[in-house]
Amino acid sequence: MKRFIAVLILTIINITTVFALPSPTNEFYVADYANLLSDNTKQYIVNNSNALYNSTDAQIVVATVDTIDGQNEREYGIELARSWGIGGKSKNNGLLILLALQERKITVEVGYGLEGALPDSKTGRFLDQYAVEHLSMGDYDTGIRNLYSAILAETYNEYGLSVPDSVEDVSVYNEGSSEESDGTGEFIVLIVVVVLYILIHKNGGGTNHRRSTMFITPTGFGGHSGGFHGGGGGGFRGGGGSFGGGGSSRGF
Amino acid sequence: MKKGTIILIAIIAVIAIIGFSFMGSYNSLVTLKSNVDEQYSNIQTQLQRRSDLIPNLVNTVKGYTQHESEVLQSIADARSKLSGATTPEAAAQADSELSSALSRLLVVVENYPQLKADTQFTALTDELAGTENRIAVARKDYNAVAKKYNVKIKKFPTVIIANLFGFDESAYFEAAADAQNAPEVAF
Repeated sequence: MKRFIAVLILTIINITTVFALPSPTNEFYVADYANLLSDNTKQYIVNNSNALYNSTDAQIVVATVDTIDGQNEREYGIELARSWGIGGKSKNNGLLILLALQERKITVEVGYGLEGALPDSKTGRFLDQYAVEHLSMGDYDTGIRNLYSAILAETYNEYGLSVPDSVEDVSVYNEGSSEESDGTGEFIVLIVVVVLYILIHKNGGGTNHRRSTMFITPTGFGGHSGGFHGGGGGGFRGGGGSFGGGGSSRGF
Repeated sequence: MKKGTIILIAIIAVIAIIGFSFMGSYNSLVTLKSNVDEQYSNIQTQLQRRSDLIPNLVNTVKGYTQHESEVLQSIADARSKLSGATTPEAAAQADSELSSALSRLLVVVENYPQLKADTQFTALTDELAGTENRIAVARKDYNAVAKKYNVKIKKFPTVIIANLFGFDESAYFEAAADAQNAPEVAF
């Protein structure tokens, strides 16, 4: 009888661990289960994601896993993002960067609230420009860090905020791209003009000053600890959750 | 108190309890049904989005390829079939055909390295892939709420209310089994 119970318990544990997604970490913003990131990069991510959350309610999370058991990386990504409840509750502005080591896939899952700033073509372009080359050479730390910085800067732009100094400028990596030739150069200029216009008007209001001081003070490792703030969808409720399937992925 | 009065009060109490529970069931059916409708319109939105992306994609491909009219035609056919679909099953069927026609196109594109390198093409395929993913997610979400609703209208005693007020079963958004297989592409 004892043996039967032991086997039963082990079976249940086995089943649940096969289907269970990894849990978020205490720091929430970085979950480096595949041990690919340096401590410096992890700290960088936590500090900046905390700052972003403080000023905009948006949450950008980076996760690495050894394997996703051969599943489709987009499906897995959205399950994970929903399960961890990434993104502010009302705005659903979460984003997940997920790297699956064995399957050699990197995916960016974008929540409803950020889909405007980060459409699929842009996240795909970011992946191509900032991540894929480094990842394919095994330099996971740089690839992920640069991708994260680019996405972060874009998010700040979306909210009409100036990008804080703590965010590394990766646009130097853009040299030599051939985009300008098909008209996107002019379009980018137009966007910049619009953003500047908004920024100028916002600065006149004075509210931006108060916010910028919050960026520089890092809340420290695990500043929002006490588990995951969840905030967002809080898991799949059958009502759609906060992630609708936006984003893109690349193999490397 | 007279015995008759007590019995009367008891009967009224029982009727009240049944009445309230019926009201609760009815209200929850209304909520579940509107969840189903919401998720269905979500699918429609994503399907429409894909439909809007396709002409751009086809034109970009046409610009680089000379002899791929067959694949492009099958995309156009599947697309118009989808916009003509009226039931979830028909829409799922057409959606499945369109998805497989699009994936055939992407296989064909492998033969045209210049096309693959074109940034506009890359942007479009990213958007298309993202939309396909959104459709898959919307479909999954819809089927989940549809299941919840369908189970509820069949369980006792809610089944009584459901039949009384005309809450019908929702169709699942699923294509026929054989449509799920992508056709072989021969070179």
